[in-house]
Amino acid sequence: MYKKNKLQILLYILPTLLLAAIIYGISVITLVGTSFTEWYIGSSPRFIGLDNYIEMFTGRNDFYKAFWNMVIWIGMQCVIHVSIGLLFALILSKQEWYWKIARTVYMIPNIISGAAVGMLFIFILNPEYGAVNNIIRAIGFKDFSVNWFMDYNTAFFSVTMMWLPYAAVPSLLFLAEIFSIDRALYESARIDGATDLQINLYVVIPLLKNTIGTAVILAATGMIQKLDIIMVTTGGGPGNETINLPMYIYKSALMDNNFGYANALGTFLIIFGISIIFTIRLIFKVGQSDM
Amino acid sequence: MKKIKETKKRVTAAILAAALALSLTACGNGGNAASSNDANSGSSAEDTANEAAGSQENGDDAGSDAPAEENKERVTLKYATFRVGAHVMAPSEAEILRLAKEKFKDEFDIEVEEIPSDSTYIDKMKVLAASNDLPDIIEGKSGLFEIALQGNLAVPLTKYFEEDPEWRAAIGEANIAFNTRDGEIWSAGLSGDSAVGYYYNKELFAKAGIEPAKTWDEFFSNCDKLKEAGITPLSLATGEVAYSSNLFLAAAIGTSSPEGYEFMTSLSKHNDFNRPEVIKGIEIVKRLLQEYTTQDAVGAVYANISNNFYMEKTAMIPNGPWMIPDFSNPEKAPEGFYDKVGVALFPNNGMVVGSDYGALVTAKGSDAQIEAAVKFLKFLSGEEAQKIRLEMGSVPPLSPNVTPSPEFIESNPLFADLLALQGEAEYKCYDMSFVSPSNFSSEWKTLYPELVYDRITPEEFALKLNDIAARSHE
Repeated sequence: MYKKNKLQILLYILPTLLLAAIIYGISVITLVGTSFTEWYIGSSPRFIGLDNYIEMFTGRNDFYKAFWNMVIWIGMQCVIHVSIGLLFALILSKQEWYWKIARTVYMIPNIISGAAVGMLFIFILNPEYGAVNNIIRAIGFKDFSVNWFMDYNTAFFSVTMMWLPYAAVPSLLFLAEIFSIDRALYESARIDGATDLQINLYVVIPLLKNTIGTAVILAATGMIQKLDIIMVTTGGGPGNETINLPMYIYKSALMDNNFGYANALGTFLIIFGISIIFTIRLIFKVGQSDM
Repeated sequence: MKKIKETKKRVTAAILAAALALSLTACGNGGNAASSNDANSGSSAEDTANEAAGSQENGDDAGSDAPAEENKERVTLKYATFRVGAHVMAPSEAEILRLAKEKFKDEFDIEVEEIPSDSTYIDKMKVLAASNDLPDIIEGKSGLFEIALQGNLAVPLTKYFEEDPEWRAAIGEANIAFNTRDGEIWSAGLSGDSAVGYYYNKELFAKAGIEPAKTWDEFFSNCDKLKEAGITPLSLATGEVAYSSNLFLAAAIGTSSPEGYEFMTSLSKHNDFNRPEVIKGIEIVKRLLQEYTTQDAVGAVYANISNNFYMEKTAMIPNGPWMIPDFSNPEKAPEGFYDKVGVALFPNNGMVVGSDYGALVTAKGSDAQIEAAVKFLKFLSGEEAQKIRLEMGSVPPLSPNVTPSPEFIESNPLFADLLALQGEAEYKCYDMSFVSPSNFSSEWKTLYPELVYDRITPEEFALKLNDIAARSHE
């Protein structure tokens, strides 16, 4: 039967294969190939071997700061962001009177573009007329003034707070999965005397393992791509305090006009991203049945 | 029966899959085939140009009997501008573009893309230069001139200037020389040399009992007196390209010593900033940013700091003549604000000046496209446009034939004062963008916070500038 349908299966997946080959395949091959070259606007790529990679790992540059910032943000997003989403989903799953409006309102920050969110926060956190500083002054701290995005003590925190708490996407994933759990399991647990907390801890969350894995993958890959919001707010500053790898790639390519080096960074980012996804899949055993 | 149904299902599924595959292939080709006049389309002008080129070639090759004119596709020029919205020169730009569209309506179309700020414009043009997809005309500011030349993206204008002495006269030999490299003219200036000092609020100065300072010591003393009077002395910003902070940096370096003056008047891009005069200038700007400006200066953009000046929260702001119309713009400043404003030289009789890199033709494709772009550039840089910029935007003209009307001078005494100061200035220095590589433009905003929050010393700041210069490929 399988052999008979081979051609048909191939035909079904052909569009996807073509799409992947055209959009990603050629781009990735070009990216990796030119990462071994010296390449600026106006020059043809010139093969220089591993020089760009050596510069990346040993040069006087922002690579390590950008990488570690990204790793910290991935860690926070995978743990805190996904946990917030899970907690929110567990609360909403009780389907109290507010659950639909809460679900919709919580979604709002996720449907606004990153650049717009960045602009919004620039106004909210402005040291002179921003809402946050003015509220703090209004409650009695008259001389309070913090330049949230540019002060070294607050810049990383301020940037992080633009995305960390808004976990609507994971919460929707969890909510859909929770609603698909057989109600008989809840009933059985209640008959055995389990409390709500115990049901969540020992019945619901273990059954969400696959979805948690998926949410963690989405959270991690979201952080690997994060660029717009940083570019709008801090540009990676003050200094290199809030730079991440995509921002560093952008600066290397378009500000320093060093496309070969930027493509070496891009190649590293792709390898790192794929490794992260495989690691998360291994940890959560995503795709394997719990039954 | 069941078998027939199954076969039908398979055939239908196979046809659908094949159709999807074909549609994907078609998607990849559609961009070239599509012809659009959509102003926001990123490819329409290029497509039109290619089609024009294609049809011209086909016409020649095939020896078509149809007149060449009938085969010609209408040319559409792409033009991007950052002089929009709240930009001080938005009204004059809008008027110039309106007149250009009217003038060339029978010859070609002009698609205008509005870009919200100077820094966004620079970033976007760099992106487009990398993908060889620049508009047909770009401005040469902040390193775009060098990038266009390096990438062989610009059309040499020498022959067009030779063919049109009137245009050459309107631009003037000084600007032409400024924009000539290796014997070729690459761009046409849009404005005369800018003269930049600082504007001050005369009422606030009177309240603090001060006059514009002659020396840097006096300037700091003035700032202290303003602070004592409860007034924030300066509007400064480090966001975007840190223009206002860099004006003080340029003036401080240029007026510090003969070496500093030489450093700030050389048109070559420096790669060594670790010099006493530069470090001294950095120290001055650090002090200004730490002690004499608003709390939001670090990271602030022009809109923030100009508003602080209009609202009389600050007493001084450095900027060029193009800011003058906004002092009497009721949408920006309170009524009567214009009369409160005076203009002064930087301490030590310094002024920051800049020749205009103007605009380059970066059109590609058919000759018709390039010819149209040159015509449009002639209009943008011509005397009519210079006059509009002068009267509506207080921008100094290039041509000696363009002079401000007596009514303009009478209603705009600040502009006349600024012109007078230009004659008095002892040290006329270029701004930082003229003496530093283009990759500096995006780095100031992340460097200045390090300086202000004492993460680095002025000496380390200078070394970081050297590092950035070393990464440049100009």
